[in-house]
Amino acid sequence: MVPAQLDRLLGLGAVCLVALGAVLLLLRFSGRAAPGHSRLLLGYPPDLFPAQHLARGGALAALAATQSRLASIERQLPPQSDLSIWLCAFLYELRAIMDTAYRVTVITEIYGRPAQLDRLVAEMQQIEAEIAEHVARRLLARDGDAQAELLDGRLATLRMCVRELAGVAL
Amino acid sequence: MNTTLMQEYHAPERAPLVIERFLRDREGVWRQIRLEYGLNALIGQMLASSTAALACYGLVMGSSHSLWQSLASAIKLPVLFLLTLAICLPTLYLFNLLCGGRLSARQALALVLSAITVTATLTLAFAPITLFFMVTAQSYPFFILLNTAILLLTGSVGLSFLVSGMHSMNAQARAEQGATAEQPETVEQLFQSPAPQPRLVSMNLLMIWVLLYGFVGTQLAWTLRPFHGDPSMPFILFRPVESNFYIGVLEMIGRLFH
Repeated sequence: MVPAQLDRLLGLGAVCLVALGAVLLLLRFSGRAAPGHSRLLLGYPPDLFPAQHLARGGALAALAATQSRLASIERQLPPQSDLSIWLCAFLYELRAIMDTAYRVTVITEIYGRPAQLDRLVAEMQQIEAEIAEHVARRLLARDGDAQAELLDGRLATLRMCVRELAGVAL
Repeated sequence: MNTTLMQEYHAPERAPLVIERFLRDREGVWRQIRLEYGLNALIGQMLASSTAALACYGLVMGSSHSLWQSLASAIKLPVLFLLTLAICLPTLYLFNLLCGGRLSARQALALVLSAITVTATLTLAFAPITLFFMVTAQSYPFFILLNTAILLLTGSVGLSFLVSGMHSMNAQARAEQGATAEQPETVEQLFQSPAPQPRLVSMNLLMIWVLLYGFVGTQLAWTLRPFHGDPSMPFILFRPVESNFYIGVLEMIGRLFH
């Protein structure tokens, strides 16, 4: 090969390395577009899951309903709280389970052997109930703390008033 | 086996001909990119299909000269598009961040790859026309200008696809912002200042980037030439860098009408 052509090849190779390195760095270290549930895919939209006759009933519909309820609970939580972060991670797990369940349902439907997803649905609903209970308990506890703080404040004000009244009386 | 159900199993991210989905269900593709849902699979699919399409067209382009030229063009043409993408992607991503946009690096990559996939597939669709003119017209300048025109046309269509995608993603994001700006759901949210909403991707910025992409692409094409090979000369991997793409095109037009 002519040296000039070899030089060009090496130069282009160097450009390739730098450009690909920059792209890989960006892909590796750049953040996601939007945090939390705003990126979460809810249910089985028809453009991504064409077998709507399967998604609208049975186990898939039950999973979608569970996901929808958990997402609405997640929206009620204060953002960046540990509970919200945990629930968000669980919602992504649930999304992956829903995707797999969809694939399994469609494949087993082709062979005329509908998938037995009842156990999975029951398990998810049980987890959902536990999460709802846990969240309710945490929120109530927080409400209780807030009430206690309010009462402490009122008590402190009353004590101050009493002290001032006692000063006036003397 | 039920064929309809088998087709339904081919969920969008598994469709073998990704371009068909792009042309039939654009909104679904933009939504998938916006939600970053199954994006790695989509990126892999676009990368594979655009590389294959461009390599095939490269084979056709180089076949006017020799087998070696065909093989060289089959490698050079995908390299041209993908290296242009790699060179220009960081600027798109960082300028988008600078303007307060919400695109992630993977979303930016997927968007530009979607434009390249459309360009590549349309270019491959022109292969029979190129072959026809290669057989019926023996003029080297005409053949070069024909291929330049085809690549410019398909490149423009691809980039307009990218712009329409960005418009659509902005519209979806605007709708989402509208939905989240509704009444607060909890008492706490009443007392919290609303979270700052990221601005949409600036279309002016995108237009500037498209111009930059075009300049980089044409300069890289000029550096990687020949793609056809002059029939009066032996096979050569690279021609010496002289002049530039635009002067080269004008010279070819002059030679055609000389």
